[in-house]
Amino acid sequence: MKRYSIRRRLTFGTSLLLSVIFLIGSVVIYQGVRGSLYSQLDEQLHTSLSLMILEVEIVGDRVENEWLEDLGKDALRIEREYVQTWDVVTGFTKRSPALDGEDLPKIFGDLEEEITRDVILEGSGKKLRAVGITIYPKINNDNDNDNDDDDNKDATISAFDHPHIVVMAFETKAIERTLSHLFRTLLVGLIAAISVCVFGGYYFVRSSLRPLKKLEQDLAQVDINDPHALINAPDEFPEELTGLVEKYRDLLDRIGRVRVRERDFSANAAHELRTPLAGIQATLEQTLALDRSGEDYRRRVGTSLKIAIGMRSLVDRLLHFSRLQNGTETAEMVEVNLNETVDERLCSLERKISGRELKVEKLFGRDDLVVVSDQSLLRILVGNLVDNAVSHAEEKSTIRIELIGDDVGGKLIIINTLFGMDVPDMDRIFEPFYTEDEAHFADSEHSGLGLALSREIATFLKLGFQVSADAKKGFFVEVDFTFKESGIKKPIVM
Amino acid sequence: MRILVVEDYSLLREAVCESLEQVGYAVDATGTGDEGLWFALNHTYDVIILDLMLPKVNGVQILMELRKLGKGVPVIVMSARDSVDDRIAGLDAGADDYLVKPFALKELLARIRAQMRKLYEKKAALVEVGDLSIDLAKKRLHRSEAEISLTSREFGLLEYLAFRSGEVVTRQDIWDHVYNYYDDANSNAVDVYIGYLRKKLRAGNPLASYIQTRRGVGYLLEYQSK
Repeated sequence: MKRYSIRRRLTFGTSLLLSVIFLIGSVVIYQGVRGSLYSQLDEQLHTSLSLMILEVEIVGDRVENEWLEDLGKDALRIEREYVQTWDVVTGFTKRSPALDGEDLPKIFGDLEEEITRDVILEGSGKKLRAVGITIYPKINNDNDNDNDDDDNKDATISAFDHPHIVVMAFETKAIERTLSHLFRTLLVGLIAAISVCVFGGYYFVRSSLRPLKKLEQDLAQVDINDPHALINAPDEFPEELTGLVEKYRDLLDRIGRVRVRERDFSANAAHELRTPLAGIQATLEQTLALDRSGEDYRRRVGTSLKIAIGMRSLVDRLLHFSRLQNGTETAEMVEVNLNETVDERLCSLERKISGRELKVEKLFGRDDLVVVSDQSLLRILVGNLVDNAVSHAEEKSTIRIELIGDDVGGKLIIINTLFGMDVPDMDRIFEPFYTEDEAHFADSEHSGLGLALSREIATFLKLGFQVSADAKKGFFVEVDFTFKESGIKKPIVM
Repeated sequence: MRILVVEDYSLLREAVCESLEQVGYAVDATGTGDEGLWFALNHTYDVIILDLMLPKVNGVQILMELRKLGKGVPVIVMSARDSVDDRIAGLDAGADDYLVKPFALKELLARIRAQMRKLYEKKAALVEVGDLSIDLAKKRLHRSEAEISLTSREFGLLEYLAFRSGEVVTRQDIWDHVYNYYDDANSNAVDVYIGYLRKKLRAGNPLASYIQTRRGVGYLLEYQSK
């Protein structure tokens, strides 16, 4: 799978974005300056044209253009102004000296409408900005001018018979030069800006991403076997990575807790198996150490067998637990009478119950609660809960066992007192091998696996399972056999 | 030699105690941590064998309490916890040795002997007194090639004297190290067993004396020939 690089993407993306912004800015500046310069030129052109058309007048029987005639007297203007007039009727035309015999294009619109256009002189190739207009020559009736005889002549022809096209143009060379200079300046600026963006962006992105490398190194150094492993120096990480670091720390914390639980599970499982195994080994070694009577041999082999049976029971529970956790447990659905299951377990615990002077209060419904479920798992579940109550209830106290059912489901509730006893740690009570005392009461057949296994069975059989403890109310367990939600197919009322 | 066994699994505890008593050790045993601590603080032991996962007070707590109170008694931890971290924790808490369950009783006995040799600064397992050889490892007593048969209590007494050979050992010391908590506190029990032992030791060499009496003080394991 092709992986993208955040550094390249950020560097390239930022550079591209800034380049486009700079390019647009440069174009706007260039066009703005160009527009401004041409606007100035056009204004000059229009002003000059406005003045010039006043100079096109009929003197006697001729149309004269004093502007053109005066042009020769001004050295500056003679090179700068490109002017040409046409008599629309006769086709007679006059040019300014700057045109050097070339013709300007006839630019005209409606009468007295000014038309502006860029033109290129074909011969010289000069680029000009031109404005053209169609006008009627002015009728000269001014006789006050004593200095010029011709000017005193009255018009003898009609101005309307001689409409003129007047085109005036200025060279744009200076503007083009300015614009060319501006273009080069902007281009160099643009390249410089893009370069700065690329290299600067690369530097900042790289330095910004450096903490990721640090995080990677820190994570690589984390010892997964250390339940208290942490990512070092979280303060050095930027704000944006704080959340990520915190998540990693949470993750490591959770992994650490799982590791501790796994370690404890292994250690406790080892303890629960190694200790009786040591008992068997020591007993058999002692048995063989001396010559003994047959009775003594039988007694010692019996002791070893008792330990082995206890170990088999523990191994069975561990296997169930493992299969339930791994999802490899299978259920064989048969009819199970819960009342009988509870009674069977109580019967097997009779000696213990009387030994601890416990009173068992049974609140069973009128009909037996019969469900279709896995018999062996339900026996383990019910057996563990009843056994727990009998073992952990205060001596001479009462254990209450309720078993009630109706059309929609049933409930098994077991309550035993905790008077004078510590309330168990409810956060840890379902941890395998958890007991209030780490010794697990090696002689008491309680390994601390019962509740953990019971919950796994309840989850597997989709039964509700609630446990609570209170110093006054006691230890309360409720198993909810809701038919609709559980794996139980149907309630069978016997 | 007197040993305390603190182990909550009764079947293992019984087998270990029986094994120790067979080889002549005086043994006190208990299944709970609080009782174990009481025994350790109120009696004198040559070695304590201690399980770590105990009801009420765990093994590490017992170890730390003993060391805090300056009790230097050798402690061999026997535990089902076999990880390196567990062993380190046990040894760091003050244990002198760490034995992982299950174990062979022979190994436990060998480790106890090693701890005793260290305690009494005896590098060799063989102690010679005149023409007698006391094998502390095999728990055997020989004169030349011939083995002298002793009861476990008698050998326990001789072993203690051998460990402290060259020193005068008081009756109280003998009582503390050779008899367990449940033995009758008979005032002349020590003298009676010393008498039995003298008789057996001199059986093959009537002119020799191996256990000398220091009147008003105690006994000394030392060879003297008349």
